[in-house]
Amino acid sequence: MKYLVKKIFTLIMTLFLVSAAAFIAFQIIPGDVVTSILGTEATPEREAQLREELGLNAPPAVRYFQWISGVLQGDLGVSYRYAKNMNEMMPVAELIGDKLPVTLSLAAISLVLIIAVAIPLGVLWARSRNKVLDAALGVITQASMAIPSFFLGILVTYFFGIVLKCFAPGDYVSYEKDLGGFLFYLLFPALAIAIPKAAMTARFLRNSMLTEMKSDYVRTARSKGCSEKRVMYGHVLRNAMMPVITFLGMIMAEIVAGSIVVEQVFSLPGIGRLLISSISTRDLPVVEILILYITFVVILVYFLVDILYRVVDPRISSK
Amino acid sequence: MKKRISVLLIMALLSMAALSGCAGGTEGSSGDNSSTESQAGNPVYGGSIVVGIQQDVDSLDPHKATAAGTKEILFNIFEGLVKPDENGNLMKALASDYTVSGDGLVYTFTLRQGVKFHNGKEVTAEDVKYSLERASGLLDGTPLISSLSVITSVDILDEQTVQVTVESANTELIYSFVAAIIPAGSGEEESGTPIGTGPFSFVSYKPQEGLVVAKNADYWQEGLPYLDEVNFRIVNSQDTEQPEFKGGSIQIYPYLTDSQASELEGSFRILSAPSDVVQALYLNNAVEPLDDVRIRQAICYALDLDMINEFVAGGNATLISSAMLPTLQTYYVDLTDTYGTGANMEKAQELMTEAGYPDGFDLEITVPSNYEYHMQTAEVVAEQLKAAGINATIHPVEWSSWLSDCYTDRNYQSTISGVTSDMTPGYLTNRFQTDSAKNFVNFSSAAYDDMFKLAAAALDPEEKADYYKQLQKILCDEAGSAFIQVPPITIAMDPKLSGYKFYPVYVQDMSTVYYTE
Amino acid sequence: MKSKCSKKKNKYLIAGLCMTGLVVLLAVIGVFWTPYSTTAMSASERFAAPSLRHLFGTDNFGRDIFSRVMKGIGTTILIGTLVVAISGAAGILLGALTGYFGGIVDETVMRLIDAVNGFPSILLALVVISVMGTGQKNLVISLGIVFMPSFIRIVRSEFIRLRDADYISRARLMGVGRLRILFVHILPNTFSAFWVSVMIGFNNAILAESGMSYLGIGVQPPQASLGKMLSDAQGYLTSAPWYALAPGLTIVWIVLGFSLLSEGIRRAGDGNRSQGGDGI
Repeated sequence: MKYLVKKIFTLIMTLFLVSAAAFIAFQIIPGDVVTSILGTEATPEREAQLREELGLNAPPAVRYFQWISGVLQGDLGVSYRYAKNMNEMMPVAELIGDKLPVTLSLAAISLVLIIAVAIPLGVLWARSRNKVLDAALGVITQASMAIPSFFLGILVTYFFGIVLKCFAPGDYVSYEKDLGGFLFYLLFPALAIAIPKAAMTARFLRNSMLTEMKSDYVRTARSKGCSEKRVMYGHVLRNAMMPVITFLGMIMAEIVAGSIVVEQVFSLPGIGRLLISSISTRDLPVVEILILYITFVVILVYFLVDILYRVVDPRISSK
Repeated sequence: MKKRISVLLIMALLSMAALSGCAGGTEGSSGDNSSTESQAGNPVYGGSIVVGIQQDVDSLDPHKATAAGTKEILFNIFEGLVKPDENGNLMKALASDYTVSGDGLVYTFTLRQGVKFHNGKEVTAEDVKYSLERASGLLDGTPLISSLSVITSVDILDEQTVQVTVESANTELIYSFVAAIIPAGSGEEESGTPIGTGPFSFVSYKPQEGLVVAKNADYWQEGLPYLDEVNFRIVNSQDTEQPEFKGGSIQIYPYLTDSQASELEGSFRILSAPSDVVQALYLNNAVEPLDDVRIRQAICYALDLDMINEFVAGGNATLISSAMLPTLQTYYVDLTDTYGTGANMEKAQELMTEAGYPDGFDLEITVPSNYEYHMQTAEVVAEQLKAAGINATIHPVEWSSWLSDCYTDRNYQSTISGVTSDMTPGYLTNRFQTDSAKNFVNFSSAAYDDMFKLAAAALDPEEKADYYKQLQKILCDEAGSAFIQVPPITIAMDPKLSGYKFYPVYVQDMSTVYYTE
Repeated sequence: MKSKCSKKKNKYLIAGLCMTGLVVLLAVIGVFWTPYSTTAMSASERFAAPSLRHLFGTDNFGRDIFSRVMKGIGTTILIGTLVVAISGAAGILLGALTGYFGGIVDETVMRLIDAVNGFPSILLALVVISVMGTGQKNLVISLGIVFMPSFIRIVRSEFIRLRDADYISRARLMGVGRLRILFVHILPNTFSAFWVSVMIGFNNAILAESGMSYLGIGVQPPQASLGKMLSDAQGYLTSAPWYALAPGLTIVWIVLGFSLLSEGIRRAGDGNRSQGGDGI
């Protein structure tokens, strides 16, 4: 219980620190949203009017306080940059709510791919007595881990898009229009994310299984005459999966961050691309919420992993 | 965020009143950039297309939109009393006729009968008065379109006639009446859908995805538009442009680099025309050693414009030596002989030695890094300057930083960028007046300032043209900056389509595009 | 089992050494000599396919890609080394202090690290770069900050493990000074764990550098960088695939080489624990 309170306190402190850091960073970065919107045609009157409209005249500290109290009351603010219609700007909640399904679906598909590939592969590998296969898997997984995700994205685009013509790169369909087409399109960026992570997971699972196979209870089970299959799937795999699951949790956090680059490569309108373009247009309200959101997800995942560890292995609970 | 190869894009941001005009008011200025495309095939009505755009929409309010990338799309939804045609002339749009008083202070517009807004209501004098008052700042004191701020009153004479009074005469003002006419009060309504009178009506907009418009069946120009739906899709990453095209998901892609275009030749129709951007190595005339005219001239001599053209524009750019677009034929004077289009190293060296820099100097070139076209130009320019002993380094910055550091604060040494034009000669030249707020190069010449006043005030077309030519000459001789080129606009279009028109201003007119049988 | 292990370790080590050796050799030669100038442009030689004349072909400015890759490797390795040096040095200092002394300093530093860790590294680097501006120096600094926490964590946990070890308590009883205990008695014993994380950190720094250059916020032209080359090349995937493949595969080669090397070193270092977790 004390642990939980401490963790939640840390979470809140971190979110607070991160949002303050982002806010301060935006005060320092050259260029502000007003010059960015008005461009080379800025006139002093329009600038003053826009500054007033966006509420930029208050001192930074006051604005930060207003913003954070708004967030605490559930008001995420409105974008400086994106229009909702002729007279209103897009509320940040709506803007992000629209992009979130893209990034989350991408993450989910990636995770499914990782599991679908890594677990059979890891088991096969751990059981393999074949030296050639063993070495081949070693080389292949090492190599896949060495490919930067954006290069993999380019390769996937080139191979599946241009050579095989499996999909039209860039021909993204909105999930509201055509869910099937949407998921199909996401398959390819997900592949770019999943391949290195699946390699890591497979290696991790294999090592974890090898460790388990050397442990006493396996020897005992074997000596009791358990079938090899039963030993493998009933004991070894089950025990080896525990660390793998936590490992997957950590990978999940990395996927959320890694999708920033991959969304760029595949022109996906997800939160990663929204974040990058919002930074460059100095759309502070959007950037703040996105950063908070990403930080929150990452910390939450780590937190859940931590909890899981404790549940699985009570020995960790104190230290 | 990054690079956008597209030429146009360049201006996109740089943009601005890009819509607001046409070629300098003379019939002769039509330019040869009109439809380079043969109108082959029989038009078929119907169908929908996807047009790739590279920039997100900055506002759905036609008076508040500043990015050229937004205005080019809104051109299909909104119209003004007059609108530009593809030859750079003004055509009458919502006004069926207009007259200007002898002293140039009173404009009288007769409204076209029976034009309807997309909401089905007829356009009234009330709507025109509201729109002009809103854009000119008479409503709340802040002009949304700065060139209209000279309007002192808008009066309804009768149901079909509106009279506009301005405080000072300017023959170029008529081009500002392209400002959109919107239903009275709609600018203040909550959750207002953009409503105009254009060939297409607004359907939906999604940040980062794009904007969809549908055919306006009641459009006042008979027979237009052809297409039922146009989807302007934002393709932010230049990196996926090509595959995207090959995948066939986009029918018109307006901003291609030369190398992209050459890859698509065959499966797509490639069309090209000059843009309305003046690209230059803009030199900050107020910092050392660029405050010495000889150094600026040396830089002009050192540049090999032909080579730049070859590398970044595939030889399709129009090389320039001053700040006027060649498409403004009446006003343009070709000054490329001044420094030559090739490199003249002896001359450059001689001038540098004279100025006290025989061994060259350091030059930092700031470049907005999201414009791949400028970045590539910068790479070539830096290499050429090095050959002349000038140690040039490239300093890429984000567009927002460029606007505040280079453009607003003028805190830079040199920059490669582009400036868009609105097709009035005054727009391109007024920024080089010593005290102009837009004079980001800190150019200072008393002769230029005097000449500009004469040009602006001149009423006789020939006299006016002559003044503008002299302005270009001064700017070129004083090497206000090292002018490079007017980049080409290259588009790729699905071969099944036809009817695309290039405008001398920054618009994407989809009303004339059609599928062929 | 033992013999199998040692055989394997040699393989990793040898393969890793060969791969990284080649890369380092190319980079060193590249400092003094490249087959062609890395910046000279030639209109007549644009997009030449790989041949004996141009081993990796030429790019959109007619520059020799092989020469640029040679320089690019140098840039990449230099950045990776500097980043690891900065974050490693800071990691040792802060990790040693927090690990050994604990208490409020430890608590504060760890909370800060949590905050930094909660933030995706590329995003953090992005923000730092936005504030400081682009450029190689700023890139190194921002990546140095990004990678600092992992080093602090590793050194700290090693110090926590060792501070209660018998030989340290004895040293303390003998009246050895704190600084001496910290840096002479404990520090050398953390090196095996530290070394592995240096290798991993180096690889991550290379990947991050190329990723950022790819996004246009890393190394800037005309300087050759593998990530920037890759990003430029993407527009010419269909007409000049070699332009993308050369820098892309080089990055893979470097990263793979160093991860094999670190794996080899790790196995050589502690043969017994080699079957445990894989360095990731």
